[in-house]
Amino acid sequence: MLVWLALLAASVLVASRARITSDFTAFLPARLDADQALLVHQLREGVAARMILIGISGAEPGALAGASRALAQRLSASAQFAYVNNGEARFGAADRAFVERWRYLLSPAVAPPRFSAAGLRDALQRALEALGSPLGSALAGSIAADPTGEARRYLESLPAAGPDTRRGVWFSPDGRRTLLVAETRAAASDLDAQAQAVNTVRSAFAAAAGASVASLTLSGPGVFAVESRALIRADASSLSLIAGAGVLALLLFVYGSAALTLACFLPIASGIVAGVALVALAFGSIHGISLGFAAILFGEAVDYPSYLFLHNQPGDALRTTLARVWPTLRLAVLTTVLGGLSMLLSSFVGLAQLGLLLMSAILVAGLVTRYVLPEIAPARPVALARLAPLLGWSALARHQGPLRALAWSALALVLAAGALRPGKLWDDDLGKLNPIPDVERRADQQLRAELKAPDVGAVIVLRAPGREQALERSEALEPALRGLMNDGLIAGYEAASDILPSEALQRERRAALPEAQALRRAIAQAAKGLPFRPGPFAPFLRDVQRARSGPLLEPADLRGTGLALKLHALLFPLRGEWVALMPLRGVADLAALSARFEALHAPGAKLLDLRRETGRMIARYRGQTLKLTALGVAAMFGLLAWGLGGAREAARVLMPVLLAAVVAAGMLPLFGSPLTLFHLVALLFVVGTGLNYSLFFNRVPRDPDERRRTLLSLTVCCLAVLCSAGALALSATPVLRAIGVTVLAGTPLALVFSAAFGRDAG
Amino acid sequence: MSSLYRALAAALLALACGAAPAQEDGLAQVMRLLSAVQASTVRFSETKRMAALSEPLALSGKLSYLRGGRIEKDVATPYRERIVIDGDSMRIESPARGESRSYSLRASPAAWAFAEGLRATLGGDLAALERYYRTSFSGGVEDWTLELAPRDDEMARYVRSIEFHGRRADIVQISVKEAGGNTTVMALRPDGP
Repeated sequence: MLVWLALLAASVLVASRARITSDFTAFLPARLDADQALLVHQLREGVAARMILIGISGAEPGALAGASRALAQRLSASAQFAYVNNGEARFGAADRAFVERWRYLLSPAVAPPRFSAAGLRDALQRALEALGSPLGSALAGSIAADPTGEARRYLESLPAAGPDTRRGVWFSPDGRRTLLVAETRAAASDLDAQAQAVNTVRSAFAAAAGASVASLTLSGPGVFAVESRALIRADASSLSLIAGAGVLALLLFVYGSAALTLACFLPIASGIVAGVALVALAFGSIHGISLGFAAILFGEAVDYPSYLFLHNQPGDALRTTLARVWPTLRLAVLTTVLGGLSMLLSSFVGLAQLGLLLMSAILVAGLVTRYVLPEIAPARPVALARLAPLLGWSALARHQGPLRALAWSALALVLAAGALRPGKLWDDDLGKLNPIPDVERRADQQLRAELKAPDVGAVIVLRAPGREQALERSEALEPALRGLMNDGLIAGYEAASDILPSEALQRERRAALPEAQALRRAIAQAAKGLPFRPGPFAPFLRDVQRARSGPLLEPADLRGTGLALKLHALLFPLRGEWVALMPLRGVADLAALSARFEALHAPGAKLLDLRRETGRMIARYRGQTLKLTALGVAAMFGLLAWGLGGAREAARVLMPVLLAAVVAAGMLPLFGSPLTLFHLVALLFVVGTGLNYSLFFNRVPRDPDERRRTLLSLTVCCLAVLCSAGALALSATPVLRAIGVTVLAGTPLALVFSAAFGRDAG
Repeated sequence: MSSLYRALAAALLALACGAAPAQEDGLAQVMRLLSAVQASTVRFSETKRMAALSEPLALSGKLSYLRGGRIEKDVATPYRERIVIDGDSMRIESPARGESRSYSLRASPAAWAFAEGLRATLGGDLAALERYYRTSFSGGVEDWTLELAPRDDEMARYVRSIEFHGRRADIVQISVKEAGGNTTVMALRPDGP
């Protein structure tokens, strides 16, 4: 008793300070191979994860373009954003200045022939033609300093993926929405900073749009993380409240006693507080999903005191009742704990958290029921007559034969339906684990498509011990990639080495630049006979000499440019080595591309399809979870065999429950929701609760009164689970809803099947 | 006396009333004539005077227009080049080098307004023309001058004015004065042997 109070106080203290996370990548596996680590890194830290996609719609195009300009201006002025673009300039002023400054180290065209008299003659001839074209006046200013057009060619060579521009800013194809992107300085995982950034965008929009009727759409990983945090927090607390209130009302009705009802809540309240505290201690924080899952534990763990109180017959002390039901109750608690344990072993962090929470909450609830309740709760047997309506269904349970036939045919039906309609059984889309509502996910997909934002797809991953080696490998691969482009296997690629050439290549380009005297002679010879004014190329001579003798380009020189963003997305250190990504565009035939790529035998290079890789990762952990689930069920079987004195008995108890779980699992995909990992968790929970029912149905009752009490307690327990699962099924969070719906379908099946196959009902 | 007065007043009134419609009529009439043109091909000789060049750049070739807004400029001398403006894209082809590049006109407000000004004039679309330019018209249908000044600040940073000279539906000269002092004069004459 004292131990319980002390532990409870300590748990309350820890649990109340627990940090709640809602970043869905926190749910991903903790131990990762190199490719998976890369995936998770991209999801958590990648530049794409820091992007806020912004759409403005609902006004006439002129007003939208104006709002876009004003918003971009305000956001650029904010220190929270590293980069803002609304399409006004394909490259910002900072990018242009950067390219102009470093053009002789950046341009692939820089080689000795380019700066010979003949090379310059060709360049000047082109410059003359450019002057004669409609673009002439825009170019006239740059010819004196950059007669070979290195800066312009370089900028034009960069991939120009972007939305349509109208009125000088980005618009959706239908012209109804202007589009912007803003990159936060803060990491995607820094939710407080992300929330601040979202607020900044909203208030800047309110100021920029003024009295206009335009409306704002925001999207992006950070925006989602912020929204889902709010959503999960609200969900978790409101669902726990609804579940708690539902169960409370049910218990008050059944017991007709506030004291007994309160006593029923003690074990589970202690269990959940202890569970949350343990999870917070073990994982550093608790995920909102785990907290939402706690709501369903309400339904399960009020069972234990209910078995005790409802089996209490007139004239019995609670201790006497406990002595009679404890062997069965003990098995019920331990089997559920085993289910939790099998989840705890998962390397999928989210499942491990749920497992620890489930296991510890149930164990504590069981212990409190065993050791604390008999000491403090009054012995107050309920009058069966008043609750007769709840037992109405027991008449049905007496027809075990037809019920069994029904159970088997249900199994046959779902199996047949599954075989006939081979829809997708498993959904391995990582996005489905993301707790954002479908509506917002669709809005995000639309905005992303309109912005032509890069999607995860085929990418070449280069690994090297250092940054320079990574860049050199990237440069070495480029000729082969151009070959793939010529053969139509890819439409294009991006490379970090195009933005930051390796030192070796920079030195090579520098060596291709002639010294001052030679260059002066060459340009004079080249200009002979062409109508350029004499001596206008002084800036050119100066810039080439500066490039020859100046410093090499370093990452720090990119600061403040949009190109820096691109570079950081394409080149980063990860787990002690450097990774260079080369995203491929327009991959039509991945198999053919893979074959050609393998034949290249490029050192340290690997072709990955990120989308497929993500799916594969989830599938692998699903496989592991299935194995662990099977292990958990086997352990339950062993425990039952030990507790009930034989494998036959154990099988008898376990069989109807597994049957119910399979039928429930088979029903869900028929209603259009393929199974995810979280359905598996919910099924494990169904097995845990179902075993309680089956155990009690197989227990030999002392007399008809006790049999009716058993039936009553099971009915009440099932109703309690339905209350809490029903609350979860109302959740706006897909994962919580999945758990709720599965339990809602599985638990009544488990009760009915247990009755059908139980020994007692006949 | 009073009858003289009345006659004078009537004459003044006729002048006052007649003068404005006469100018309006001229522009409207020329626009109507231009709008009837389905397609045309003319020879051009263009002289560009630019600050960067010691002597003017002289280009010549053919210019064709197709109703609907497609403009094609085929440069024959001193080098070969083809420029096609169609919809909101501009393509520059260099047959000698086998190169071709496309640019989006919408990406730059100045380029877009310039192309629209040219297209609106050639197509006789006064409403579209006045969206981008302040117009001033002088002369008569047989010998007219239309001067365009950009309304848009962004465009005014590049182009000061565009001037068209024409006889009825034939445009004989286009002059462009750029903000930086560069000028282009393009003389047009009927295509023929």
